[in-house]
Amino acid sequence: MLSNEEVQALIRFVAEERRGGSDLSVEYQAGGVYLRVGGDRSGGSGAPRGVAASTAAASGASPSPAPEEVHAAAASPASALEEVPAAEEPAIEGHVLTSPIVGTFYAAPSPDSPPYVEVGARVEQGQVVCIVEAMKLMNEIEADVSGTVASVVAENGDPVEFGAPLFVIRT
Amino acid sequence: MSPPAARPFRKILVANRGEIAVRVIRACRDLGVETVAVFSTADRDALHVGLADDAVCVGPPAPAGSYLHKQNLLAAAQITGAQAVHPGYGFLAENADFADAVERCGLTWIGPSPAAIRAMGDKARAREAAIEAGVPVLPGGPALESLEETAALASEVGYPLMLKAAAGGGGRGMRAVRDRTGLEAALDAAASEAEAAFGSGALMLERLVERPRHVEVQVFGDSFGRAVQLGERDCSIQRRHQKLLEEAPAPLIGPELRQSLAEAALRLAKRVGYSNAGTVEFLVDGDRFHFLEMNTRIQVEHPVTEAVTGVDLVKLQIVAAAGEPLGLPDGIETSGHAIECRINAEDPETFAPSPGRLRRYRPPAGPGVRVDSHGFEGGEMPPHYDSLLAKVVAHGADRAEAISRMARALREFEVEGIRTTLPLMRRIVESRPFADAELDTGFLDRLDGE
Repeated sequence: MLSNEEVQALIRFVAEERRGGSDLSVEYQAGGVYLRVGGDRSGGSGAPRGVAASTAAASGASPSPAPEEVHAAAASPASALEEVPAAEEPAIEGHVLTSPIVGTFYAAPSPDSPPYVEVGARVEQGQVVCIVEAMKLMNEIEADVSGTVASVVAENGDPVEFGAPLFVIRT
Repeated sequence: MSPPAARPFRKILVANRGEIAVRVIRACRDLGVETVAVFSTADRDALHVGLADDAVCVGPPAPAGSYLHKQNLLAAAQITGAQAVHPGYGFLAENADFADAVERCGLTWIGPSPAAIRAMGDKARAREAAIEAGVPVLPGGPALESLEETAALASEVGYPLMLKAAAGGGGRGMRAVRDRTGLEAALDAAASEAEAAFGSGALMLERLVERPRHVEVQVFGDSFGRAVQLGERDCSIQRRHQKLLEEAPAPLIGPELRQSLAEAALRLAKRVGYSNAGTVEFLVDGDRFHFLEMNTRIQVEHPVTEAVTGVDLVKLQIVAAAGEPLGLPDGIETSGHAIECRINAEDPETFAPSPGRLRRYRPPAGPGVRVDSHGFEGGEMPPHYDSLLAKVVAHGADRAEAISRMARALREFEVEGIRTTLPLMRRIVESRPFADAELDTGFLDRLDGE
């Protein structure tokens, strides 16, 4: 979690870089916020956002616009301070498994069953690790790499959007 | 239109992006309805995402995985508790299967019934409905199985003729055919284009009208079987069958032709039991007119009708979908004249798309000027979608005042970082032929030939 001072410094840095005409890219990863000067932000890295979809929270905040947009235009009603904590997820290293669809996350096949996987469990690529329910269809989500579950990011019953981080898997 | 006693819905999902998503969100705000925006990973910072109460990422940049992904859109409505879906225009707006799926999920579809979308979406069926409603159609019919049969129909219809996709519009799957020798190649090209764009290679052929005017009538039906018309728009200034500029009312149309067009459009709307907003398009050639197609959605150019009628059509769509009566008279009065210019992120000479970041964005304002746009300084025009950046609408007491206000607005409008059609639109609006209302689909060719 960034401190207020760090957020302010970040905003100043972004503002100055923009004034200088730099092509900035901002990415959120589970480990924090990455700024790249002169980078290609459309590089299709599929960088996951640091928080699971908070869409049902009705906060009125847009889901993580880059700080430079907040600076550049009144397009987002949210303040930069509300947005930047997208980096508050613990810095757990590893591969982030993201939701390939929109729906509701379930860690277990049924309410009475144990979860498919828990932190510390070994998973193989192709193994079912959770369910994302969409329109009453239970979509089984498979691990896209083999490794050890380092973190279960989504909570049982969470609404998740496309790209929302579900698990961190240490390969 | 009197405001409804209670808000029509608690929450609406807007299944679109760009300026129309912004437009729908604004109408919802005016009605006190909460909104859910959907976005692709390329649109994270888009204006509609910031304006909505909730936002859900529905997929990757390619539309097939996001804005056209029915399951993700419906799931987004589900996880946010939306009660209705507004499709905007384009994407799934005229997809009857999606409208069906929305209703099967217990949500309200803000648009015409799936049956009406199907009936009008197939050009051959739409043509039949027009004939049954006593609306004049051009000689023509559906292309047949064999080349020989189609060639026989073609000589019956007479050359030159126009081939078009039965399943869609927007210029795709369209080919003009001058004579029998060009027929086979044109059929092949149009069929594969139609197949790629609409998933159906079915074609129609109709007699070609050289340089017609393109005039359309805005209709609106409620859920009680009542339909009204809100006057016509002239959309003749086009390039490659894409509209560039629209105005209301249509200039140089006499009261008799105006009334005939309005009545024909209403007859067709009533014939198919039409509800919600729709547009009946006609080709006008002198005093004669023929049915072209019916669009079962809100149109890009709806603001010119809003300007001259004072009716908020998007609000009316929402209220009507909630089962409220329209509260409009049968023959609505119009006031003054309105013009809309589409500003696209395109090279003004080649029309090649020009995506990128808006380094500078200063839209015009002032008396009689409205801008509908998703643009903002620092914002992005992604390469994956429609190039429409802004619609500038000028309203005046008469056409001359609307033109001078539009010319002023286009001069004020500053965009840097991408190329736009602003220079072309300025040239059109400030030209002599436009002032003289020399409107037909050959307008741009003549202007370029000067």
